[in-house]
Amino acid sequence: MTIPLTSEPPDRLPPWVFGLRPQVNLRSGGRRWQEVVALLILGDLHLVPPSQSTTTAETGLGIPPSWYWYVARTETVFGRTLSFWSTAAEPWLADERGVCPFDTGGLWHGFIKTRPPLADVAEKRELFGRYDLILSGWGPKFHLYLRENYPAPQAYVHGQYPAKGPTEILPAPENTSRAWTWEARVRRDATKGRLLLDRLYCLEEDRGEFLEWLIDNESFDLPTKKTITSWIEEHTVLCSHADLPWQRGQRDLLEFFGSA
Amino acid sequence: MSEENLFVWGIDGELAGNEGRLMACLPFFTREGAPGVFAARALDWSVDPERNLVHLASEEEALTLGDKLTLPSPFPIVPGFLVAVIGPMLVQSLMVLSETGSWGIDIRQSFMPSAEGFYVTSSHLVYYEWLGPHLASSAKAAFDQEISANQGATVTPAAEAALSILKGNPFTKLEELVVRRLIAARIKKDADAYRTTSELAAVRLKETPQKVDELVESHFRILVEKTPFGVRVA
Repeated sequence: MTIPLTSEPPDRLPPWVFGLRPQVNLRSGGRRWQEVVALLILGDLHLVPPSQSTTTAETGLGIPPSWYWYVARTETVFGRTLSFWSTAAEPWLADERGVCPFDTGGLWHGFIKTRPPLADVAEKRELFGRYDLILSGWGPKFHLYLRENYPAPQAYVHGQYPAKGPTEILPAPENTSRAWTWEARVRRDATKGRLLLDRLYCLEEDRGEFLEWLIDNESFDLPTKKTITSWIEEHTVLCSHADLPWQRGQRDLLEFFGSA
Repeated sequence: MSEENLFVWGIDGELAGNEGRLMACLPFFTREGAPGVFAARALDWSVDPERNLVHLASEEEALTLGDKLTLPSPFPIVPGFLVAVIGPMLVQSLMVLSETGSWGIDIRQSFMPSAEGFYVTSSHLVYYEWLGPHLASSAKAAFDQEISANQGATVTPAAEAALSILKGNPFTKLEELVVRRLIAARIKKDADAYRTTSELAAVRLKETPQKVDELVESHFRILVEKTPFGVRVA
């Protein structure tokens, strides 16, 4: 049997995607979006407070406080500012869990509809435990999932329902693509140095606003401000209202798989 | 989705942190007779409703993804339009400037005030791209006029307001903003602000701080001495 070229695992791992939804952080911890962007660039993810809904889901599912990404997908609801992340090597501990083929917060809060419906906490935990994977070797597992579930990886990027699983999760219209988007997570106190921020997608006007805010900000010293400014100048993908960050990021993901 | 009877509910983003700026956002809107809030997710939100519109069942759900604008009366919006928002600090600066006569648009007539202190209008991208540069050029002229009028002796409230407008305007050209930021810091003898602005501007403009200083010096002379070379013309 010949496997289409586009189904072959690429040499590079697909990026993890974090879309900024800062107002949630703002409500829980007083961080403004500009501060969140600065902390992302500095790799100080642990300083960005989690939302209450995230903490609730983590407590319920028994997940330690973590930072979350979608694997190789942009979502419109987290679409004004996006970031692509990579891991330089395989920095994971042997038993470190952190990859799940659906949005764990959505599962806990009941946004993901299943058949049969999950009656209680124990059933949610059981379903989560069944699909939660270790981080080590996540790339080959993800590519295997793509091969088994989609005619081409681009269908995953577009948010199409998987052919085989997870079988309990209902398709649209009961659910949206977040119910079958892979989620990666890393403990909040263990992200520094293990994840690399590769690029930021934002509107040109938001970049300007951010850099003006940075000049007047009193939390960072001048060398740190220069570091952040240089990073922004070199790594930002500028977008427009006619080609929003989530759209541009999605195109780059399609290209990633198309050219692999 | 019908294009009729859609009303602005809020924006695809947040208000906090954006008090000093002009910005454009995708709308969250309600539809007359339909429960919940709809969120536009692309500028062409009428083209692919499945993809570009998200139906949020409740206001509570919408509030996790965007901010509400509490408006005194229903504010209509149609597909393809953005919500243009002017923050309260920027509005204040515009008011200061309008008192000097250097500003020709009455924001209070063109925009609707929200309870959150922001001013709001629905805007085609073309209008937004006209308004922004118009604001920027007016503020730039006002700043220069103020500095020139008092021979660079002080940064007047009107000049402060103009600078604030320039900072909060996405259409301000970087070099023009930097020069005026630095002139204000120089007049105030604020060495820290001058150094920070100058060094960060150098990174952004890919110039040396010395080159940035030369730009400032040159522009300052133009404003104060009315000639680009510091030689007064009799």
